[in-house]
Amino acid sequence: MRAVLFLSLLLTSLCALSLLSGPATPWSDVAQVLMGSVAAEDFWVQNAAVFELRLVHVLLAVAVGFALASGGRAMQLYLQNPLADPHVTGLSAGSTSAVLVSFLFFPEFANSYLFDVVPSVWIPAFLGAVLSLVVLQFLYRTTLRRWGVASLALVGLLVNAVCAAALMVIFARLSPAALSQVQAWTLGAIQGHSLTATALLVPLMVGAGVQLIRLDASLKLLSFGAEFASAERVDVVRVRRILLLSLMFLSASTVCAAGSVGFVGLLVPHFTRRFFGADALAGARPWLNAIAGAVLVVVADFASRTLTSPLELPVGVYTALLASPFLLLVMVRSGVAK
Amino acid sequence: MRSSLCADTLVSLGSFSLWGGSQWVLRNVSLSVRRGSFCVVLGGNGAGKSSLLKAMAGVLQPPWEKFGLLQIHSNAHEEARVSLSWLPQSLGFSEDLTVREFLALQSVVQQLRSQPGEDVPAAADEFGVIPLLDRRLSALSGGQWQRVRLARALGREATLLLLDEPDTALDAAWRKVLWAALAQRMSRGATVVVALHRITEVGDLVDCWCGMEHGRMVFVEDRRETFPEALVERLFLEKGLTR
Repeated sequence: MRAVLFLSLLLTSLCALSLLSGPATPWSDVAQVLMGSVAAEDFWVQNAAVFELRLVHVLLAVAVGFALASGGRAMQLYLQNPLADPHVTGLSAGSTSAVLVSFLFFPEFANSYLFDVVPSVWIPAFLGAVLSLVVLQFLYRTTLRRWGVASLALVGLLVNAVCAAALMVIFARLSPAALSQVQAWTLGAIQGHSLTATALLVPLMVGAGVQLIRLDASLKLLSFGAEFASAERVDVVRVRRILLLSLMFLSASTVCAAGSVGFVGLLVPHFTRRFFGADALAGARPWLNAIAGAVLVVVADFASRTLTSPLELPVGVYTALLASPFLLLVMVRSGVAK
Repeated sequence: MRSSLCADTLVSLGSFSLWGGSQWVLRNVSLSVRRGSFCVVLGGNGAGKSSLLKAMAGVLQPPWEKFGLLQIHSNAHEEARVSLSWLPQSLGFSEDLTVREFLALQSVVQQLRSQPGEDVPAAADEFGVIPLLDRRLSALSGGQWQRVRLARALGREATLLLLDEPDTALDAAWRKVLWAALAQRMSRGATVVVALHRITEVGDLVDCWCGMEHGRMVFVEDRRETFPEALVERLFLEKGLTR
């Protein structure tokens, strides 16, 4: 419980830091407000647009991190594979490919909005995820069922491979201007969404994450084998269905929010397992994991906005840069401790 | 071969067969297990003992397919579904839980049914698991892991206990504890079906001996007094396993 509180406080402070500071509002200005020499209200009004933009970034970063880390943990438990993450199912690759295909046929999608609020690319993003899920389910049912849980990873591998090939073909056909924009997006970049669009995406991502956290006990029982789980009254088919549906919503909404952000789902579960595994109660572990994911993406988003300003490097670059050495350090330390 | 179905039958199998995806694992098995009895399933490696228990536990996953009759009968005193507990022969795990977490791990269905404060079953004390509660599963020895699994399987007051080689990795003292625990469960009305290789220690408890070979039931001896020596010898002679 103490660890959950600590991480939640850390996340709140990081969100406040990310909201308040940045190139547009230097620390000297913030300090003046805190010391009372400038009225907080004036400071807020003067920078309203900047704050709104940052609020969108912070909210999306929290939700993306929360969802991807939960998805990663769920997939690692389900597939009993430490290399799994939410992307292994191929659902996000399907979603990303569908968005890029839509750019080829409807170039106006890149800058158009539905009802003036929702970006048009959301349609192909969700359709792509649904289509990938249908393919996944069809292949699983018809041919690969006997392979057990590994079949999901295998089919995901196929979907991922086809999508990667499709991306290369699409890249070759895009205009150079569109290409640079799209390349950053495929590495994971939190886009400048409106506050309303953010308010629609965040509940989807957090909802999918919470659903996966609720499956945690069943997935742990499943990690002892489907037969054991079945004897323990886990409805294996239902758990699989909920897992895939949650992952579909998770993939489509994170792709809409930030393209495909890598490493969060892969690395954060290992980090929490090694860092908090010994102390935390089993019930708290999936929550710790999700909050740690949110912390990572908020820090990565803050770094991408400030470190190379005015140029914004994709968030995915920083999640990889931040998470890999940190995980390595934790692994080396826990190895030494043993 | 006996397959008489009477009022006190808990599990009945009639011409039951099991297809394992590429071969028949059980062929034409008929058996009825009486309520409150202790039934031992004997047989060499690959005879189909584990598959029989899995089928009774109702945990078979694709590509397994079952044919014929398999019924578990509830009577008026029991709930709609007989509560059963299945101890698989081996169990792998990916998430490294502590023993306490493993014992408390419940699916959503179980969470709805259980009473608060049921985290560590009474059987944990019976099998000497209390000192191990805060150990990680990966840090347990083979015998300790088996005792933890037994504490979980026998912790619930199940009507039907299906135990696949429950004495594996246990030393003589813990095996004694195991047989005593099973005798106690039976006195409370539980029915026990056990797959075994070692037959020296359970003689007094047993109501029914079944012998299996190549997925077929080769004998079912229902009399408690006589140990089917000749039949068991036939089954185990080549494998060098005697009483």
